[in-house]
Amino acid sequence: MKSSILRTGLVLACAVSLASCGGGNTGTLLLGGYVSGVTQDGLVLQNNGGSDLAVAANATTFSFKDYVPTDSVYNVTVKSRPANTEKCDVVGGTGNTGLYSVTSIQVVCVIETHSLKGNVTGLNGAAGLVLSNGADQVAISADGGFEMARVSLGYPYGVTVLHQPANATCTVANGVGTVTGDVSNVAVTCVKTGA
Amino acid sequence: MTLFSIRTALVLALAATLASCGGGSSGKATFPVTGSVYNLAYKGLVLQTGSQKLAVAPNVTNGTAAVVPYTFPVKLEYGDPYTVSVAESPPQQVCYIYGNVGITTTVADSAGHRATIYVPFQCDTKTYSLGGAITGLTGAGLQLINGSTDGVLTVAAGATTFTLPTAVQVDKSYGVSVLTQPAGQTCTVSNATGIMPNNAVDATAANPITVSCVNNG
Repeated sequence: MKSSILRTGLVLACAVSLASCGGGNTGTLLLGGYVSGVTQDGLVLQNNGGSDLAVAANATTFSFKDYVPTDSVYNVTVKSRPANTEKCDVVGGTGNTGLYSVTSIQVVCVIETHSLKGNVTGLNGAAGLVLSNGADQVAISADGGFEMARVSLGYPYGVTVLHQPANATCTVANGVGTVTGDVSNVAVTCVKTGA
Repeated sequence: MTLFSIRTALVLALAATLASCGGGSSGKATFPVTGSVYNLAYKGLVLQTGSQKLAVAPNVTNGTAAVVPYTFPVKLEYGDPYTVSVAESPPQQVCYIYGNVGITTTVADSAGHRATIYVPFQCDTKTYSLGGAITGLTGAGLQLINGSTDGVLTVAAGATTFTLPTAVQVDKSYGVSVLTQPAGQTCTVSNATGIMPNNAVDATAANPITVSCVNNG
């Protein structure tokens, strides 16, 4: 009975000592840094092609679970990126640890954007129409196509008339939605007012 | 006679000592108080060092505020203690020591401690909440937006006012739209667009943004 407890204790101690050494990655230094532009799950990082590190949505920092040895080469790469990103670049991802932990690696993801376009009819030269999508403004001087600032994938948009033209009233159709791809069907119809 | 000459010598020595202390324009190094202001977009900034005040004008081109240099007219002499502070910010902005939000006065220093006296400031344009009134909302699921960048607000059934999740910067345009209609109702927005004033936009405004909801069918 006593000896079996002792044996269990020894086994546990062994396990603990192995775990503290990090298995194959026998190191003492932290490897990590900062991430930006991550609004969805899906970012997976690797160091030297080793085990995956999944970075969760809205994370701003990351650190690999395996500690790395002193004076060892590290090479952080993006294995996969969130579905709403155009790219994820690693800045300062390669080097030699030397004596200190590395916490300055930056992973910069750029969220995919899409165009927001439409068409204006009935303006007939009336001046002063300004459309807005929140803080983004576009002045319209003639009938035909217009383009607002690009919008990130998954973001809402709401095109409104910020300023009506002289002697006409414009209304917006298909002006509201959530960006799932390029938007080109915003329809602005202007009607003459008064004489 | 002897006494008198000693007294004279003492007086002369004292005078010489005083002169060397910089009593007059003794050719000692002087230090202008200089710096730059980042993101100054509106008129009204007044900086102060000692009793001197200096109005700093913005330099804005196509909506972009250039870095504005400043130099106080009176120079300090070596060893003069000084502080530089924001006496007044433009009404639409809050100005402070560059990189030190909320700190409007430099730590006290003395002229000559550094080769030049250079104190950078920065100004942040104020932001205010954007909201309005709601009438007739009985259904769940109403979602409001201000274009693309300010998030989505889900409004509970029965609400009579709303405030969008992100504050809007002064002089930026806004346009409130219904992203998702509530269950069984259709809502329209009046006074939906405008330019952000130098105060909050809410249900107490003269012509508030109003979301009016009616039952379908």
